Amino acid sequence: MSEGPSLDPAVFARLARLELSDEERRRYAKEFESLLNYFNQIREVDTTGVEPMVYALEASLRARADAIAPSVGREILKNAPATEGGEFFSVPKVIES
Amino acid sequence: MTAAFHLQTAGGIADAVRARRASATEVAKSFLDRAAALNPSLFAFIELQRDDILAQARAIDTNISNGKDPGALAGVPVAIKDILCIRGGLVTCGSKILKNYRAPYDATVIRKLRDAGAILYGRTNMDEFAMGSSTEHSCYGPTRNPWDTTCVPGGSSGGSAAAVAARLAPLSLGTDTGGSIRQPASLCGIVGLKPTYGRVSRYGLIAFASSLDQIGPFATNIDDCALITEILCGVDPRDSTSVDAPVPDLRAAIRRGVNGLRIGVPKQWMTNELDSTVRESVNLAIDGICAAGATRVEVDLPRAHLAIPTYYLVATAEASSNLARFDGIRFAHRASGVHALIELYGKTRDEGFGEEVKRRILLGTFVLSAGYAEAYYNKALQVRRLLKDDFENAFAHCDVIAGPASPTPTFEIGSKSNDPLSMYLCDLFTAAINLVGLPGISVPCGFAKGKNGPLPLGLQIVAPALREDSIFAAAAAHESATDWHRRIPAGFET
Repeated sequence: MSEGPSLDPAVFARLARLELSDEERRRYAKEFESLLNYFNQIREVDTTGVEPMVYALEASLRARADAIAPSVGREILKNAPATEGGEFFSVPKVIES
Repeated sequence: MTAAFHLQTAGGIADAVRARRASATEVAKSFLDRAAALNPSLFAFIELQRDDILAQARAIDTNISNGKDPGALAGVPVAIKDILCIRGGLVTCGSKILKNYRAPYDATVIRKLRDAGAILYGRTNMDEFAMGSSTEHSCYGPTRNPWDTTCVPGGSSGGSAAAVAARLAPLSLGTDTGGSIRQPASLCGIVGLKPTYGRVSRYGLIAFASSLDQIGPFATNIDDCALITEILCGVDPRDSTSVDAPVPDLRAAIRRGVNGLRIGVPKQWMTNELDSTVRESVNLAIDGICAAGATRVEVDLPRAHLAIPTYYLVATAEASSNLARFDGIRFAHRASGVHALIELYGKTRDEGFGEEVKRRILLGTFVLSAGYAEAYYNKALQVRRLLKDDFENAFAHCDVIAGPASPTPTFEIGSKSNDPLSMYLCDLFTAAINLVGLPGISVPCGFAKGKNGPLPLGLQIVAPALREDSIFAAAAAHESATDWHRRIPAGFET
């Protein structure tokens, strides 16, 4: 496959915030080559002037009224791996000093 | 003496409970005893909480003795795929990253089932985040096919399909993003429906690919499938993609017959390369519906071969975006011993996600990345519209489209594990239906000879958007001409 892109899993793992072992990286690199080879079929299709279709039933999408309504409360924090007194999500330091 | 509950239809059980010929508690106990004996060989359920299930049943019985209408599914156990939120219960998507996650609210379909008097009956196994066609990609281990326990039940809703096929539950819920209801229904010899995109609210469904995901039921027969589908359908203010259309009268559609119905058979599906037993069974099934008054026409889906590449480009792109939320900050698993934020994300996601989920996140990230998004993601969305045009052209000549649900019967556990593309090709006849948003069903249509016994096959019937009624009319004609749906896998009859 000369014209197609090369897909280095490590590059996209970094973008996706995924750590990969060397073994995973090698395996995915090999698999992606054959998958991309197969996916490249669509690049040969003439799509001049064709509008991309994001949703199947485009007409049905609608917005709700812009009004305040009750939502989930503090109980949503019960699933958090770490909280500050059950009131806030607790995270590692974000800004290095 | 009436038949044991597991040999009755869901409608029959509901009638008996409503008429007080049986109590919901008796029904629940009978299914729980059956699961205790039979689930270990299949691993269809990852959780069955006896006390909770019996408490639900008692509440239904109390309602009935207080003279309240218990609902159309009174006392019927409905098994739930581990991707739908049941308030206060664990919901993990078969993933380590959500292992301790408890749902903060009921999904809309769960609320509807409660209101209809159903018993929410256990969590069923699935491919992690619904990514797979075999239910092997679950952090809990694989589910087995009741027709041959060395084989897969299909996926990703394999636990829900195996449970109904083995008569461990009369009904179950699955989700279908590229075939995840219809393919396991086919491989397990039962009925599985993916409704039109938007027919059923997805509030409380943990998202995989939002423009494709749809919730639907499994049943052993078409009447039960109609009964539960009518309950699940309807617009929901909590899901802006749900469609504001009247709930279809599917039981009327079942009764109306197929006189004049035109069945389109795509020539690109029924080629000589197709497994000959699958092709013959599907042809015989279509002949049977035609004998009841329908006519067969050949239709053209010239870009059918582009369905899989288009589907996997769109689905992985959406998945990589949807699954970005699992980062160790707000939900369930967080890697320990890490003090920098970026490192925390990476390590949490490495520990929490399995191999197939990582593969798809990587592919989707690639598909959406600068420099490739135009060539892959946008291109796939353009081809998606061309696929829609193909279906619209085909439906100018027919009322439903029929063909195989799966290119093959079930396969051995482990046989496709090392070849992702061969697994992706399981969706050959189903994925396009999701891309285009159409309703589709798989109904049992025969058996192939397997090493250890018969292996079920499925007929897929597809209709234009919101025309589930045509699907049920055709499927009912098929069912009344055959007895495939009455077959129960050996060892699960009694």
